[in-house]
Amino acid sequence: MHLTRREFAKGLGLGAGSFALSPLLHQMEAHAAGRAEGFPRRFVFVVKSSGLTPEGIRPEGIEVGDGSRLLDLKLKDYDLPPTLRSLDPLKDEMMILEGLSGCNFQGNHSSYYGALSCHHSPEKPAAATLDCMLGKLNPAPFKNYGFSPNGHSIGNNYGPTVQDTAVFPRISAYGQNKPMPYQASAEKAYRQLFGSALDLKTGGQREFALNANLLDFLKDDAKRLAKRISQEEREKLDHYLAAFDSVRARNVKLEGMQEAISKNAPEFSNQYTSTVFTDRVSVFFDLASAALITGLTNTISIRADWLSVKYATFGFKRTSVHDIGHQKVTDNGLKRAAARDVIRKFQVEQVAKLAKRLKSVPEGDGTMLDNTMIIYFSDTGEAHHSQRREWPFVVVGGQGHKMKMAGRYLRYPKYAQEGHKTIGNWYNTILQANGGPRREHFGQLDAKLKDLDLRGPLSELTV
Amino acid sequence: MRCFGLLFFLFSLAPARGDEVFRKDILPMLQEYCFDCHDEDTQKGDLSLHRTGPDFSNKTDLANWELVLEQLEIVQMPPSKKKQPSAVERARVIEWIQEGLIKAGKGFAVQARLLLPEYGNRISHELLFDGSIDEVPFTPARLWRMSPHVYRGKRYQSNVSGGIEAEPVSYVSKSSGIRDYADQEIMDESGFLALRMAFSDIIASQMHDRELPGLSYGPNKDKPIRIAGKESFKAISESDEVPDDNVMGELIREEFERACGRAMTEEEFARYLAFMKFNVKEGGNEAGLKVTLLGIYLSSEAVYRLELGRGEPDEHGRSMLSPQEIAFALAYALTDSPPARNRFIKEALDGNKLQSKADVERVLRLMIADGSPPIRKNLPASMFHAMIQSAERGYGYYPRVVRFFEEFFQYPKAAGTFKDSPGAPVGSRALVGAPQGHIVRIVNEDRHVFEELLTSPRFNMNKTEMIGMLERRHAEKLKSTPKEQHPQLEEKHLKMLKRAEKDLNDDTFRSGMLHDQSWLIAHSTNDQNDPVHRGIWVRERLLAGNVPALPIGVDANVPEAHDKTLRQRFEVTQKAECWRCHKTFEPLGMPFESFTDRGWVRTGMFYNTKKKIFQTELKNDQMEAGLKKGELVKYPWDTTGEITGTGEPEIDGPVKDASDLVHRLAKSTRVRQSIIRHAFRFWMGRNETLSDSQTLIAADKAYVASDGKFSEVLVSLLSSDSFLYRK
Repeated sequence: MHLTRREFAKGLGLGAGSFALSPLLHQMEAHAAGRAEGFPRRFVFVVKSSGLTPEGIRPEGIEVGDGSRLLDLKLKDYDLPPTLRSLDPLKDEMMILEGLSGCNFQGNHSSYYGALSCHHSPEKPAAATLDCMLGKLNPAPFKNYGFSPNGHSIGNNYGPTVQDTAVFPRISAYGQNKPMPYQASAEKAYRQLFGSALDLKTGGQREFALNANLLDFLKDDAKRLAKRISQEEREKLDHYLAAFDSVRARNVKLEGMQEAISKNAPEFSNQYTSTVFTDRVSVFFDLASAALITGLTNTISIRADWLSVKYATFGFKRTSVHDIGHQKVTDNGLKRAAARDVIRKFQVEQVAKLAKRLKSVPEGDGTMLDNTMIIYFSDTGEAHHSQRREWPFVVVGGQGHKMKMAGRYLRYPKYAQEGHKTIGNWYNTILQANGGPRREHFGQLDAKLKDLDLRGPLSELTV
Repeated sequence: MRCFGLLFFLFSLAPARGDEVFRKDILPMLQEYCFDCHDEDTQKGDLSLHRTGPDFSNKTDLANWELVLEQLEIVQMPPSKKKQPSAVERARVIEWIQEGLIKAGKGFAVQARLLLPEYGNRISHELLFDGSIDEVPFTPARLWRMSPHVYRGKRYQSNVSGGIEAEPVSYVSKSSGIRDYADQEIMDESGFLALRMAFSDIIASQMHDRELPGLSYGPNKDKPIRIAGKESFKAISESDEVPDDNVMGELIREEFERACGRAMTEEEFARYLAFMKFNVKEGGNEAGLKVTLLGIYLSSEAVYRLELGRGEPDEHGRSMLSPQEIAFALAYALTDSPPARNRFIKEALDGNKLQSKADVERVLRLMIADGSPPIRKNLPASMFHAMIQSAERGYGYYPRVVRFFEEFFQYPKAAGTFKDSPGAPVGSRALVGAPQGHIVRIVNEDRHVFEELLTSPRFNMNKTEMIGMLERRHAEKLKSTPKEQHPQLEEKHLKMLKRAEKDLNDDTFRSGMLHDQSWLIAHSTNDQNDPVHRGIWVRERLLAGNVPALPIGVDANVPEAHDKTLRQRFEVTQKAECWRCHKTFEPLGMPFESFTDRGWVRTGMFYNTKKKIFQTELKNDQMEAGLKKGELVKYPWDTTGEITGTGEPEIDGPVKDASDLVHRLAKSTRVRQSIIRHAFRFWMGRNETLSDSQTLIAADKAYVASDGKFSEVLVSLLSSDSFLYRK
């Protein structure tokens, strides 16, 4: 069921007066780029901490037995578990994926960059992560955008985490040693994403218009310096010069989107400066949907929480996610499993909210959700102290992504059994189905699984 | 290819090329040292060098030569029991293979090995220190990206309340080594975007007064925090009128000096003023100001340090740094602040006295004698506070001196090492603050610094001493506090005493940094001692040795079995294919079994018969109760190990325990020289090459001749040709 334009705008809660022409714009852009499918492929990675337990996302009544067999079931035959109920209306547009492993990407409570790059890289990125690769394959003015409620500030691996500036949650990377910053401040994210077309006091269109002047000035400045140094050192400066050109090209794209941006930009509200954790996360999801609908980016990564977070909204004022992982009973008397349920339910509701918004925007014969894949998972596999022999995923949307996902519960044989597969196979599947190069495997192989055939994508999903 | 040239000088052999060089120089060495095991008949490790020829375009040959290069560099082959080539012979083959690899298009890999800090030890220690090299040292002319710490030192933010300052760039180098390497750090698009994002935040937050929500705890709970904007920014951003040229001019000059560390020229001034006028006219005061500041803060000279060597070339083709360049180099050698903030450097520069080596040495000695006050950042607020806080000054307090030892010993990692077992009695900040205090004092005392760092008994966490200190501090505090507050203080004091009483023991043998809780925790896992990483640390940092990279496909996991002792768990590494590498580090890490994984002196190893596991950490009272009830069984523990590879007969050999280990190491020449090599890397921002041999030998001699003054090592390194000359 598609909403009317007015209903859509209202439902979006973004205050945009009318339905923007952005999907049309995408269509035009896609045609211009000569894409047969017509629409960009979009991705939203929602990364939780402290593990995503398979039991917590498994539909009711499914028996996995000793886990040695491949289970391929239809979601419509089962009830979703209580914490996933908000996804009920989307049951035939989602997939629950279990049984994959990622043992060799270790780290302290998190595989960090390893979770999306399949390289052991707890400290600094060893390779590009899947989200950044996809961002590159589906370019938009912002190739990737990341939201993280907190994280380590730039350059500070061991210091306190910060909440109101660009942070590095150590999840995404453009390439080896090139970590991707996430924005922790909703207010700043708003300016960065939508400022180019808005009349704001800081960071608005007046400032955006001066960017060309700034880049010219910096370029001139670098060239003056280049005259004074040797050819070899000039190479270092060339990297800096190239950055100016690349940013300028992005600005030109943004200039062409002014109308769509001003129409889709959310109404700025005091929610953007809220310090309540759940509010902040909720706003990130709102910003994400607005940015996708506007066409500002096609790939978004959201760090849904972090170990030190205390969900005060749910009465966990003095109990952090980490404490809960260590069996500490919450202030309001919830034991580990119950407390984790509360958190998961909240996060899945955010995913559902995002999915429903995208579903309300028509695109071609379907909706934007068909061309957007929302992937909910943990940075550390199946548990707080995980072995990563299981690494479960919930996928919503993305029916146009050329993978057989709709309405499926898929569980691969357990670790080291015949037919077992890894998250590397899964990422390979996503990448190949979305324009990535064919490759034997994604990332590093698990040495303990050398007897298994782990080449290629997951054949159960490929079209 | 500049850097390769550094190596090639050694062997200016005849114009013999390709096959001929191979046949004349390389093949005979292979025959003598390698063919015993790697000829057609034996082919140990599936490697036959018999048919491997000088053709690097042949895939098999290329792969073989890469393998050989690795083994030669890390001195794994020939095996220690076989006849060894001399250092010169080894270097000759290494150089020949590198040359071949470069020609085969593998230049990048070769270059990475020379430039990255993790490969620093690959250069032959023997050749560096035997005095056979008389090449004049220099550093390549370079741009050096500003470090995160320098950004902090530039004070882009005047008002930071509560949180930390944004560090807009991060190091690319491994966090387990020396961080700031000139060749590694490049400002590219991702860096530019991150920097612009951070600066936009910083500038915007200073254009107006702000109010932040209050803290959730403490006496000022929920009281809004007011942060004043910067006056010079506010004067423009909050005015409705176009600012006049003087106001803009003053701001530009001030912010340029902040960003670039020098006064701007008149030509630059005119350019920036025109830039700002345009911005303000087109974007209004606020946007105009912000974009202008971005233009200054992101200028090439604000993101890169310039070390080009602007003086006249000497007979070796090297040029000395210009006085301005020297001023920056010295300021950033010891501090994170630009030269204008140091009076000695500023006076010397203004008085035209930064022209020669002697000038540099003079300024350095003044800076060292003057010292720095204790830095307050990173210091613990808790009970170790007084151990560090004092009115004294010393050169050991210079931020960069502190940082060298941080990066060398890696102890700050302890704060981020997560422990499953019950909490330590002191917070993680104290865990880092305490050793920092000891190190600084040892450096300030400036006598046998390395030996003291490795063996000083002051690292003991002695219960009696700690309680005595708490009592002393408490008595002092009572004197300076009004009577009505005394009950509160008493209560707090009793709590601290109780904690110390319960959690601390009277240590007896703790000596030096490697016995400090912070170092031990930093080199441990969640719940176990980690002889692998401890051993690797000793091998690489103290013995200038190399550890082979983990072979691809090897699952290097020691089983996590809580019902086994550490030695039982490590039986897996005794297999021949593991032990070949493990023997280089494991025997160096095992003696630290003298401590528990939390760095407490081990008083027992306890098997819990009920839970059927070894308890990793037990409080004194738990232990006593458990033993009484018979739930705990005490096991013996094994602290033996072995030192190898120093080439010093009185040092090499079996080791009894952690104490024996560090006392022996402290006497080793190789250990002393290894620390100096690491200091060289830290202060030059690059790996040493053979042509730096003279610099290293001089620094080593300076240390020995001065009875172990680290200040002399610093003066020697920072006035060396390696530091001052560019080519």
